Amino acid sequence: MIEETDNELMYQVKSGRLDRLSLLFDRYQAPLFGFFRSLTRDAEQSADLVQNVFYRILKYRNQFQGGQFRTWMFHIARNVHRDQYRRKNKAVKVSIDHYRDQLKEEVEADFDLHTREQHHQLRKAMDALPEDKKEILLLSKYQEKNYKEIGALLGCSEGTVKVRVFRALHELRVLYHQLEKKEIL
Amino acid sequence: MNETELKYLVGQYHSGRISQEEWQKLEEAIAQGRIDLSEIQVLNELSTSISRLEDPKPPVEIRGKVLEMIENENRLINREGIWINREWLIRTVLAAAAMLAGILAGYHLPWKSAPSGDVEALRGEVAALKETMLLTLIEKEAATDRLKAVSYSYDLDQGSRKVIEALLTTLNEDNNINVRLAAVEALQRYGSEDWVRTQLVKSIGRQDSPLVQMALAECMVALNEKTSVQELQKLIHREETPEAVKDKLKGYIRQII
Repeated sequence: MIEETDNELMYQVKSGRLDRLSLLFDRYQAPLFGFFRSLTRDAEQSADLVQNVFYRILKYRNQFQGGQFRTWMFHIARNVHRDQYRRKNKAVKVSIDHYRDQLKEEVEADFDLHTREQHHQLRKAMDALPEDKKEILLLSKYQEKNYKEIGALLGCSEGTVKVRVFRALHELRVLYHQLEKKEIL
Repeated sequence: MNETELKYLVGQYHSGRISQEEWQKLEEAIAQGRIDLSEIQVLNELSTSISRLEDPKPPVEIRGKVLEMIENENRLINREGIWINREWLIRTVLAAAAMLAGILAGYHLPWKSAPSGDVEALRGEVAALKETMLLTLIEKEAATDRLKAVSYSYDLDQGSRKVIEALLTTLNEDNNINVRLAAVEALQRYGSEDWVRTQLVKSIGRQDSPLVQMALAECMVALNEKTSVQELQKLIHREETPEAVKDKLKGYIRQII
């Protein structure tokens, strides 16, 4: 059976077949939750934010005018996160050392110890990145490196996005090595 | 810059000895698409690792909540549909009745007695029950419950003062933006009452979410509430109001005036 595209499903939702939104939810609940979880480090809050995104998709379904559904959805996700952030009116700044104590082990049974350790380290480095850099790397991941679409989402050119990704990756690399050194010493 | 120079820049980055000037050239080349990010191997590996990071599993209960939300919205649409059909039906019946009355008048047919008061009483009981449910759910902790409560207000032909006051409290105090947005929409139906309009205007200054501010501004346009202009202007002068929102608000004020 041919799977319907995101846009096909969203147009069905727009035309009144609201139940089709559950298929889009099944497709995107995990990436959205991952996106929010990385930004907020709070599972409960992230679950609420995912729900808010789908509430807004439902409420503002008539405003979907084509383009990629995923880009539109992440646009809403960024707004939902920003609104929440404004409301709380404070950023949770956590140092790498502090985070080490807080981080809960994710279950990654399929990975070997080395990969698991690497991913654990990478997550810590990601969390130590400034918000804007973390966000661009997450968008790059969830938009599958479609820099043109990310540019449309952020309101800047494809070239600017690439440079911002480059800078963020460079800073991540530096943080990653710093963490590695700390682990060894 | 030729191929060799571009390769040199990538090499310099890898070596960690890249100068500030070379860094700038490297960024320019990346922006112009002359160097692909995947060519910078160490960063490409890092980027691939990020893509492979498993997403944490969302709690299973979100699905149920989202499905419930979809169902509620579906109910709302269907209700609107039924309402339209009901209106059409009433008009058709009235037209047919008027025609029949004319025909039958000549034959002196007796009128049927009015329906008994039982139906009215039953209708009143259902409305009271819905009102109680609304007032209970609106106090609940889960946002989905409070959303449901707001949606119940559409089932009530006329909102009691208690219901409207509960909706106003939600609009001003609920910590969930979506619940507040739903409250604006629900309260607009009671906009014919002066005191409700006054409370809606007062609420503008209490909102910190641009989305709710805009929803209230749209409501003011729909109600053509001129006393809201001052409150909307205050929002425009607030430093923290985003520029895009300020522009929209100016547009709304023009419509109201």
